[in-house]
Amino acid sequence: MADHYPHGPCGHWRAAHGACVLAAAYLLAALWAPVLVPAVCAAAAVSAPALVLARRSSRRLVRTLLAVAVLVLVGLAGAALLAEEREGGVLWLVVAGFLAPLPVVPWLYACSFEEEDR
Amino acid sequence: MTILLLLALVAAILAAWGSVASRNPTDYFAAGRRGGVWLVGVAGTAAGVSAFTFVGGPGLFALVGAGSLWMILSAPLTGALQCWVAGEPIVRLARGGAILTVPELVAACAGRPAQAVAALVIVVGSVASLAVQTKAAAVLGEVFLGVEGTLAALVAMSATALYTALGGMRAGLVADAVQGGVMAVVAAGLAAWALAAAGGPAAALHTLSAHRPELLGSFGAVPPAQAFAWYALFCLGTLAQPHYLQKFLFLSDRSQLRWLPAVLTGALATTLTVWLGVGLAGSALVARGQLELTHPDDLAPRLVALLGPWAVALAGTAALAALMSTSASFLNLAAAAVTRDLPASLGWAPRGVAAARLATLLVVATATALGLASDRAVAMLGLLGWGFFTAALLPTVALGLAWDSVRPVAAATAMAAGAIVDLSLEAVRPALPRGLEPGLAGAAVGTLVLVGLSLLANRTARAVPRGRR
Repeated sequence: MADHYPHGPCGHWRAAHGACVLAAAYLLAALWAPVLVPAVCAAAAVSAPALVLARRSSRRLVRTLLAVAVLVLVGLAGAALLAEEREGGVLWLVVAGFLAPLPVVPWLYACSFEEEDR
Repeated sequence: MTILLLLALVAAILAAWGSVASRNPTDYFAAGRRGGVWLVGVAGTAAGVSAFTFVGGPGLFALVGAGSLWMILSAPLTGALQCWVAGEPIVRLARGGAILTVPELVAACAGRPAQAVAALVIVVGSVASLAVQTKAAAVLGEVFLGVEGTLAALVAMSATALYTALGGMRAGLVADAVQGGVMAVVAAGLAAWALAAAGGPAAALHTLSAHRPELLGSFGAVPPAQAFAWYALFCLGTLAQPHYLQKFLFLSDRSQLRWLPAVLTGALATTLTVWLGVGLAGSALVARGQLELTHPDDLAPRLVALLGPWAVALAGTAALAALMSTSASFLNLAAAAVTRDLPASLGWAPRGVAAARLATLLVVATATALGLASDRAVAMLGLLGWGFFTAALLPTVALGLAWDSVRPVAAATAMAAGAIVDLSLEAVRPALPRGLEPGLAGAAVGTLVLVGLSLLANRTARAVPRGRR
């Protein structure tokens, strides 16, 4: 594809394979095992930023992506655990799922930013 | 009526400036590539937030409670996600100056056939979205501004078309940023005002806990599978919305990306407070018998009417700003697809700014006529929104920017397959298992098609002797 993509990214089969696994898992779970949909959707959401590793990869960036994933997953898992808590569930959703990551994720992005792709 | 007259006046001034400032395709389609982080960030949020946030969101809270919040829960992540996956490579690709539109970006990743399909997807999706915005303008005009619906829709769409047709995205970006600022301030103000009217957030929660407990908990009245599917759809879907991707083409340089997620996230989160604030406060007031609803979408209009005439005027202005900013982006995207991308994919020279101005007017006329013609048609067109773009464009954009083995026919087929799956499933949505979101399912099928056909094509290409390729 070099002719179509003169500034092209490097080839990364892992990105394509990962996307296929998640796509197939979602279809299977949604159709036959809805109880697994939350896990597949959460995995897809937190692994999507990792597509950046196809263009630039560093230990700092991997650590940043892991930190973001942990932050998001803690929010989602806590919400799932507090499903039956009337006020506690809503408060967790708003505070841990929404408000807490608001300043942190953009700050982590800024820290991981590089002026040029490597 | 005063608000509508002011709107027309401001649009005329902006159009006059834009017609002078927008001299070439780069000015017209990519705002001259002069956007800084604040302008692009606030304008990007304004384009992404439609009137649904002000009316449909609180209404959905009244219907399913905390479960509705799963649609907006990914807001802290999406700014950074967009920049990591799409923004960085788009800014790099656009640096050469040849890429001004989203289908041109798709062509850079996946070739001409993919550009043609992407252009068609954008034209269809944009006209449908504009028709829905027209209908929303009619409803909002009647409810919030007290004017005849058709008049409100005609003024709002004509004003948007005026500055978008004459000034392109040079005018559109400035208008979007101002509208985004207005929306964020009004949304936060209305949320606080509504919660104060309900006695504060704690009192509103206690009321719902006592009278409508099914709305509380982490999921409210929504099954967990459905809630997580919404989360994934509105998180991953940000990578596939053409009006989001378009904003990266406006940035003046790559360094603007560093703090773009902070601006995007801040503006979005501030605007989304209206969903939670008005939704929670309104639901509590309904539970106490202080508000009566005949339909969940009545929640926001009834609540702001309770707050007083200033609240009604502010809510009307913010909702109009939301639908105009979204409409401006879709108008420009559709005009670009018609005058640049479709001709280019057929091997013809792209048309210039004059043709794009004409195309903008034709698109707005078609969409306004569709929007005002029939409720039934609009309801069906409403299906062609976020999920449609996610299903059609997510695999090609996200993988195409990260994986250099994407093949042109594979990308074109994947976009078509994703769109068809989404539309087919939307047609039978009530019968679908909870958790099977048509947009996500379309994107999943598109991903499998894209990777499978690309693999097959690459193997076939390797099998052909070098001299015969």
